[in-house]
Amino acid sequence: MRPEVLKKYSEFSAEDWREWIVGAIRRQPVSPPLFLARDEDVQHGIQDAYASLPSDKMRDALRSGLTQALTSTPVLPHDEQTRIQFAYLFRIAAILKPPDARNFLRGLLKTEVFSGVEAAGADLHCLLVGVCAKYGIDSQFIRDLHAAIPRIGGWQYPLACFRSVALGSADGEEACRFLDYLVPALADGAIAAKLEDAMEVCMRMHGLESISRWYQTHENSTIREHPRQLALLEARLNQLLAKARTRDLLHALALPKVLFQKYGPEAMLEFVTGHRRERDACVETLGKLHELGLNWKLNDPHSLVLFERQYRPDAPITLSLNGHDIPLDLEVHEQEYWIFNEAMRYTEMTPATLTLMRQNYGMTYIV
Amino acid sequence: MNWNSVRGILQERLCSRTEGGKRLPKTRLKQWLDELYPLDYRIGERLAICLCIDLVAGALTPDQVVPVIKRSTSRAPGAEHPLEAFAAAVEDLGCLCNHTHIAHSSYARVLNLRTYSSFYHEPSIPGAFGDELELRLLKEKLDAGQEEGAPMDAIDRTWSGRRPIVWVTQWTFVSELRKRLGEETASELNDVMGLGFEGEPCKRTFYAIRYPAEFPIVCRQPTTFDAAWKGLTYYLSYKKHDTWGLTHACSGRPCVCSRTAPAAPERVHPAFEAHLKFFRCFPLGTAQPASDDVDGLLAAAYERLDGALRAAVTETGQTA
Repeated sequence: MRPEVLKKYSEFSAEDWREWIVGAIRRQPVSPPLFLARDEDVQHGIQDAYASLPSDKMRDALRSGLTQALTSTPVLPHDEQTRIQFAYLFRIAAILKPPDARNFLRGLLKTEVFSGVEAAGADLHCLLVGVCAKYGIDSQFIRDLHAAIPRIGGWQYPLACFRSVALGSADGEEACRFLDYLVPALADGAIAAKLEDAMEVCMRMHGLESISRWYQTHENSTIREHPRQLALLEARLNQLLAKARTRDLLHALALPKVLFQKYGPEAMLEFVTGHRRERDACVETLGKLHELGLNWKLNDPHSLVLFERQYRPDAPITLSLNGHDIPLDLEVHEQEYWIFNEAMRYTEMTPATLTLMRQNYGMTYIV
Repeated sequence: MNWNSVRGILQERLCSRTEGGKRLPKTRLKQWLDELYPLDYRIGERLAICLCIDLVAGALTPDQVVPVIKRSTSRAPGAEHPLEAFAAAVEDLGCLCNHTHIAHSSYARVLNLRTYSSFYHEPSIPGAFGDELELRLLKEKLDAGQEEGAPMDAIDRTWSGRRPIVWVTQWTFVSELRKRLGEETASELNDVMGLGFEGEPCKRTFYAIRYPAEFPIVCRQPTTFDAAWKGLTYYLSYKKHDTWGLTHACSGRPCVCSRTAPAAPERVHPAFEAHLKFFRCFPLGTAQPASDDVDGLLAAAYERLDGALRAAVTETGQTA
């Protein structure tokens, strides 16, 4: 920032900033001029101006100016210029978070005045959800979001709610409740791609536990009624698993099930081998699959009891098979061969798959 | 070559009646050039030189340039910064280069994380914003595409910039640099492509968007009208009829700096609306701020103008 520009900024009052911000958004000449690089937009210039200010007092003046710009813009949803102005102001407010604008923004959200209104390619009400969430998530906010769903509908609003709440809340549970509305609204792969993006945000923030729990709760109810949407969701969940960190997978009780049921043991193997460096996690994930009764028939009369002891980090895993306790890290080929063949009787896996699994993990980690 | 030469060339080309019957009054040109010349970082001087190069090279015609200067000067003196006025005059003019198009098979666009977020990610994903937290999450997502490139199937917004113009280079140029330099690619591109980003990491973290093969939209050599002039950018026009522009590095001539990459070929194409299903996003790393050499840039500008004039004389001789 050039010294003469900085000097001018330092003399700006909140009112000066309001004029400057609004002028820049309206692409009117402003002083100091707003210089932008090739692919930079007005909001970047304002952000950069804020970042260049050396004192809290100057920054507070800019933020107050931003509040003034917000509150002094007439709320005329049918006027294009007003809509564009609000779209920019919401984006800047989401980053600079002027404290005295919070109630005003909440008011706009609650009155749903921008519901169904678009500007610069964005749904203004969804922008409001996001910007309000930046100020923190409380129970009233969540109630307001849910209350509006029957009136607003569509996929954009529940997606914005899901994503914003996932970003701002302490866990992903509240966020995942919005999936109840979102999943039935998945009309095509393009929307599903956006859902995957939002689920990835939720996963990065909170791990896979909440998504996985939501899926477990709903797989036999809500989403089963929408088979096409379910297929889209499961395909995206599959993509999501590929991006998951191993520690996230430890909570993915239901999600490996999605993968397994939909794609069979080969894909399951691929999924696990993607994380084979994390031996403990692999064992745990396979163990949980086993708990879900996916690859082994626990109720079979022969009662293959795999992972007799629940997984513990230090566990040498023992297999109890027909009354025999077999430590699974044995390198005794004959026994291993026997286990292999016995296992084959009780699994739907093909010999080729099991062989492949054996090569990758040794019997220790598979049966 | 000096400022007087520039004045002379512009006067000769613009102040006599053009083929289309347009003419710029000498006083108006003088007023405009007098405003441009003293601007900081010699941006105004470079703008005038670039216009000269484009006119001499035939990339722009006087009929295209005269109305723009008239619009730039049709304001109350001092009411608007001259560069803002020029930017406003060319706002909707892009990809106008008159050179014959030569097709190319693989393009790439280099852009930073903040641009990617605000122009494409945020408008496509309801509730998404570009604060520090979200930019970190986005970076993590895009950085996963190191080998195959991250998919862009969630993006369904107009593929454009602030103006309806997109700058591209050759994918082979970027990919070879990636292979050779690894994590240093971003720093090299920030310099050699004349991007010159500094400050927050989100401005210096770059991605290359690889276009699908046989991209159907015509990409043209950039002209002065396509460049951004509202800031310290490093654009220079270029006279060469291979229909590629040529970037100028922020840090000046290759012999006086440490970079190894050559100048990048560049083209522009108009914005389009489409799903970006077949585009892939490759991380290039986070750049160090580039040093700048404004005097070197101006010296190169005059050299390019000199080269363009010589070539024009040669071509005229050959035609005769």
